[in-house]
Amino acid sequence: MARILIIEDDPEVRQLLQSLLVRAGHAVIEAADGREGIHLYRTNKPDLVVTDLIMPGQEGLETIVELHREFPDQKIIAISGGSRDGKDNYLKAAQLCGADRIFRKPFDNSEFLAAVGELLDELG
Amino acid sequence: MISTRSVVICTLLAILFLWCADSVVDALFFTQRPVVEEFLKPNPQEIYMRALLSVLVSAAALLWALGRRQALTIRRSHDKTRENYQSLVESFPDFLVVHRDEMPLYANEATLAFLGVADLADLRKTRILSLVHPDYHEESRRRLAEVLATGRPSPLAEIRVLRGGGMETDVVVSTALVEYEGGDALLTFMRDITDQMETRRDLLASRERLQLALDAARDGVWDWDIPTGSMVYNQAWAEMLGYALEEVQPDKSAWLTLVHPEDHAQAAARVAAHLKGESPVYEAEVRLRHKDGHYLWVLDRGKVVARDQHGQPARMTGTHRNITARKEAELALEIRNRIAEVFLTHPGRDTYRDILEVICEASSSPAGLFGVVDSDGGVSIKAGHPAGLASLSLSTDSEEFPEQTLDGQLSRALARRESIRREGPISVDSQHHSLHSLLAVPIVIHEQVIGMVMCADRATDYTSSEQAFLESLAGYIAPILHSRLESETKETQLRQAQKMEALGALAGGIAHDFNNILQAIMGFTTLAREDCPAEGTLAADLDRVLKATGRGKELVQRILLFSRREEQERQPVAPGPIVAEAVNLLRPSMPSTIEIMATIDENCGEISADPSQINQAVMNLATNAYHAMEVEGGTLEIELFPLAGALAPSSLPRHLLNQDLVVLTVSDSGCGMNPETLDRLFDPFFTTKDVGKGTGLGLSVVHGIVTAHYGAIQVESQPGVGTTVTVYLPGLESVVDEQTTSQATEDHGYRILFVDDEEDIAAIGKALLEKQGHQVTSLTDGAAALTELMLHPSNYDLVITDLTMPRLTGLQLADKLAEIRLGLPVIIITGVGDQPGDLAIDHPTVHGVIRKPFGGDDLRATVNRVMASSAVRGGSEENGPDTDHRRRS
Repeated sequence: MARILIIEDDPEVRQLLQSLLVRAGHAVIEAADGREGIHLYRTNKPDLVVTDLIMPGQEGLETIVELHREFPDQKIIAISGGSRDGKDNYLKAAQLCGADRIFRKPFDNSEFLAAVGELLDELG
Repeated sequence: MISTRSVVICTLLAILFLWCADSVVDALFFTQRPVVEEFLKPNPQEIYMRALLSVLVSAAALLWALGRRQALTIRRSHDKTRENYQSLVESFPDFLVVHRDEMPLYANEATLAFLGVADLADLRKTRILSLVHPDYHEESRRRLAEVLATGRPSPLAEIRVLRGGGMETDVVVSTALVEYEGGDALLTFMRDITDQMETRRDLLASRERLQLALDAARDGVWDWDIPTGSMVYNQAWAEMLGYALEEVQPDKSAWLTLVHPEDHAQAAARVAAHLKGESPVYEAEVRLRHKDGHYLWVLDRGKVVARDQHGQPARMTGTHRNITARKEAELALEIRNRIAEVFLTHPGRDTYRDILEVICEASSSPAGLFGVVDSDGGVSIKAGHPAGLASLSLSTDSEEFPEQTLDGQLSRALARRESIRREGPISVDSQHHSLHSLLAVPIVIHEQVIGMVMCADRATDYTSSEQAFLESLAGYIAPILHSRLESETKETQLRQAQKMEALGALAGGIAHDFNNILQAIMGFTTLAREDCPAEGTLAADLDRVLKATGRGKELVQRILLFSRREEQERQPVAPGPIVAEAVNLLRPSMPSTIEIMATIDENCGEISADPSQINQAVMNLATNAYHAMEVEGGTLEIELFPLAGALAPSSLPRHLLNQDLVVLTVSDSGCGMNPETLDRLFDPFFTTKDVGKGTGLGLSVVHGIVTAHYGAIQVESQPGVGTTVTVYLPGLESVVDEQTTSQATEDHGYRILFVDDEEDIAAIGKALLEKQGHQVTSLTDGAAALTELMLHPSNYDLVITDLTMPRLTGLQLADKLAEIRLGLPVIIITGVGDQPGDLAIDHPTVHGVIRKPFGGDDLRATVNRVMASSAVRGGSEENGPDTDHRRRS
């Protein structure tokens, strides 16, 4: 069992990720934007962070950068459905900023869970 | 007694007068006369009237003398009276002969003298007709017989009599039945009209001289005898209208039948006004019909030259001057003005329709057409009347021109750059209709045909001067049309680009939210599917949900593809094998009614492309072609070939001109498209297909792919004939050139200071900008940045700064920088939903805003935009702080 922080503004997607991870036997902490996510991160010290990129408040890219500066070994999965202004290069930017895995929405449950498993395995 | 007789005599006189007058009128007005005598008409009448009057006077005298028919018998019983009467008759100045059975019984002294006979006894031996010129024997015999038969006096007649000594003299004669010496006899009286005849001949001669003079003049001349309605025209008048003078009816009807119906009323009113004395001269501009059917413009001027004793107009003469040339010049000027006005004030497609209307109206043509040559040589008919003409299929590169078909003739006009003027019938292609006549003129500029005007179907054939007129009009239209077509092309390109941009942004926005929705559906459905029993309908139903979600996912990806928001994964590839592979994939899916013909030139070299996208473009185009032919079958042609730069069509976007291209064409022989469909062809979600057959994205995706590959796409379509889509892609070397030149021009290698308190962001920004050719210094502290800029103000062209920083915010930095160095542009980076970020957009010292998360494209676009406007402002830097305000307003 691992502790996983989900940062996602869309409640349905957040609920989905929560369901998937709980079923896979993990403990889940949920945040609706980057600021809340950073705050919960500090208090909960999760093993893995799953973050959306485009969110009101503090967006994902900045959140990744911030987490990485403070906790360089933190495993992060970035997910995105593309931006509202049509630009779609953010997953790559997230990778540049330090995300370990990226998923374009909508993605398969199994592929996502497989990635979660792999990253947790890397932590040992 | 006397008074009773007087009454009787007067009554008789009146009867005789009326009867004679009738005959005279008959003789004058109901007898066909040769034209020459018509000149004399007014005057013969006078002569006759004078003759009549004198005859009446004579008759009066005679009847006074004879009293009644019994008068001559009085001799026996009333000698005194008889002598009186006889002396009266003897002294009567006109000639009187009483005869019976053609033998003279009595003649007065004057007669004997006139005829050169010694005495009455001599005369009585001579047959009356021997005194008459043989030419008049027949007529005279008939007249005398008639008087005997009817008992009524004969009408006045002109005859020639033979006098003694071989002299011949013209006289007027009349004969009446009388009783003489107890039996019926005839009384003939005569009057010498030699003098009148001479006057008449003189008049004729003077008239002829006048006519000669009139004929010598260029103008037509008319001479109107108002009481009789006779109207005489001269030779020049007849010739002006294409007639021989003999063909012209010498009365008002000639004018009435030739004047244009629209001009008649005005001219008639002006004549009437002049006749009433309301105008000093009559003047009107009227059209008269030439013998060959066309109209001449004539300046009609005239004046009353004689009035009768009551002051009523008796005669009016005037001239007809041919002013056709002047009127045509006026008309041409008016038409040019109207056309210029149409071009200036009527937008869009209406322009062509309105110009055509002007031309058809000016040429009185019921049919017409206005065509414009497209940059690729096709002809689009912008206006056609009747509407059926607009569907004609024309081309500038035809080689055969069927003589009697409209499209054949118009194609010849276009291909050979020559005017066509023909008589009908000319059949209108595919319509059961033919045109009476045709006049078509190409519109040419710089030796290139850019359009065509046609007027047609007029009952009368077009003349060479009308052709010359239309040609001059086409010459006038040419430069206006040329500039209009050029701006239309640019406008269309711009509009298309803007439309795609807007729709792309919209689609991208939808895609983001939609992906979240799909994510939830897909994820939860998968979970539910895992939880439900493997067998049974529930699992099957959930599988269907998943399948549908998969389709939704693909759809969103296609939307993003056409909006080309994604980074391209391009590599140098040979296009031939990609297209060949697509064709191989297509073959099995096509029914046997559709023949696929692929011609792939292997010498296309390489292009910089994403192979899967090129494959998709070919597949989409082929699928569309297939759908167009689905019902009737047909041929699908796919061609791929290289095109040397010099041969590139001028209609391509500028960046593709004069470089080597690879051309892909996909043609079908299907139902084709109308202009309205063509116009919306690339709009996302626009489809003509039935529900379920297409999303309306196929061509949008192709458009997105082609544009992302720096290419261009053109579509030609004819309803019922088929459609050809042509894709132009730059060859690889061209792409390299194009990219380097575009970077050289767009990315000037600016010196940029990048400020962000997040080190990684600062590092990413620096890396991205350096990749684009800029020199970048990155700092993580706003205050440090301000210090650096104060120390080395001239080392930087641009500052890019994060908005939220601990010690000095982006906006504060921008304000400070504005204080130390006007004109150094500042770009602020803001996070999503950052309220101060929205403020930054309107902040006076901020020149651009980039939203996080940003990519290389965002940076490039904003830097280029800001620097471009900064370059504009740079020229007026000395204007001080105002420059910023001006930029924002």
